[in-house]
Amino acid sequence: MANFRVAVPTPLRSYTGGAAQVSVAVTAPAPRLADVFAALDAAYPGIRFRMVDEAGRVRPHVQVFVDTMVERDPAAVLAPGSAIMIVGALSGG
Amino acid sequence: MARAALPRPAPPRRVRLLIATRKGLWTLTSDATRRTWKLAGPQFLGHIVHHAVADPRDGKTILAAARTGHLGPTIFRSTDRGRTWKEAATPPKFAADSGRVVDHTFWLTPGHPSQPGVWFAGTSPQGLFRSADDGATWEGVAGFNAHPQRKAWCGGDQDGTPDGPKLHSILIDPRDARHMYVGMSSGGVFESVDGGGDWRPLNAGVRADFQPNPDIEYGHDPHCVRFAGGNPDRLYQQNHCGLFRLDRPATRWQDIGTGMPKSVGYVGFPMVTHPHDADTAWILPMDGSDVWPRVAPGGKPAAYRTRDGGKTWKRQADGMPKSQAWWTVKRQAMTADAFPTVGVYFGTTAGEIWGCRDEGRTWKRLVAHLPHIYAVEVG
Repeated sequence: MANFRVAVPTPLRSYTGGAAQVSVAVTAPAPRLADVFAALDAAYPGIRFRMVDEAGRVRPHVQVFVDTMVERDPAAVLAPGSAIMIVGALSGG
Repeated sequence: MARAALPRPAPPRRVRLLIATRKGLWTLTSDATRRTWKLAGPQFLGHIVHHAVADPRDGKTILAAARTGHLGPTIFRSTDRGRTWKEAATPPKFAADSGRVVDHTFWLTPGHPSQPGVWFAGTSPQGLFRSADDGATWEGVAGFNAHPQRKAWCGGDQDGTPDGPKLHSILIDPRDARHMYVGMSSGGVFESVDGGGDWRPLNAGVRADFQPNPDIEYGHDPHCVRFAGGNPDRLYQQNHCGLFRLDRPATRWQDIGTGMPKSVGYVGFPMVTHPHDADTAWILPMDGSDVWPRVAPGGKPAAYRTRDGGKTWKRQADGMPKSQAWWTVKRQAMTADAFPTVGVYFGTTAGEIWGCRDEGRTWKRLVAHLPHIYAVEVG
């Protein structure tokens, strides 16, 4: 099991009780970004669909960083201990 | 199909407008005199609220279709008349393998009185969704979303309105829960007689001037379709190409735009029907000439009312600005209350609510300085 820290932007903090940083546990042996989204949704129901559409794509005005790199592919494999940062893209607001 | 006559509802004791805007939800309330109004809000500040609708069946449930600039679409639900809200556990979304993605939920309609808890939602791009639990969870109506003709009916994104093609004007026959209509921009008007299991186009007689063949079966652009008050066998339609009326069981719409002044035209977005009189309806024309400015023609806004089923239209502008008022009013942003002498209300994209309590004779600005108004509903 791996734990990931996730920075949550203000538009999504209604789901996390106002928390700007949360930690989620992923049990998959080779955790992917999609697993983090699923773990977030399990902990904070409804949050995933606001940032990932029904086709599994990160929404156009949501930006995701893994450590310091933009990562929009939910299938991307995460290194242990990676920090996830979700932000509202400037294009959306 | 045999259907019972409709009872006339008791007069309301108060009126509340649900004002959905590009930046949140407000309410505007008055007692039966409709002389003084109280504005409350915002709720969901910063959310793009396309539609907020109260459930006339229980008098306490309200659904609001919302998204934000960044986040995906959802539905908020209140079961205490708007005091508290919860988000839908499963908002409207297409099947994962469909390749389609809901951009926003555009239209909400409570279901038939015999089906408490049932709601329908129309989305952009065009999709039809149903909830059986007061909006907590939603499922696609497969008879529409997976209909083999759906793609042909809807066309592509370039065939829709500037902020996305839409399914709207979901009408449930008050005498028969299985009998439904929807409107699509683009696509046209469609009818189901089996609760949404199958659909057929219902556009004969409606012009489609933007098509190579203007007398096509589908591909039209209805802006708003409403039942006539007290007579769901009559439909009124404000279309991209004019004004039309359909009296069932006929299947050919009648052009009712010929009585409009040529200088004003017959293009607009809303269609409002009188709750007690099937011959009376209101429109708010928008300039459809040239590059389709979609503002009050000549900067001189006016409602037009028919009292004879669309044969003639009377200009109603008393109280409105006489010049330099370049209003745009969207298709869900005009409505009527159910008092014996009906009040009519509309909201502009510049954030003003205008209303009357005398069936359109004298208008008054009720509220200013709200955000861009998308929808105004009584509830």
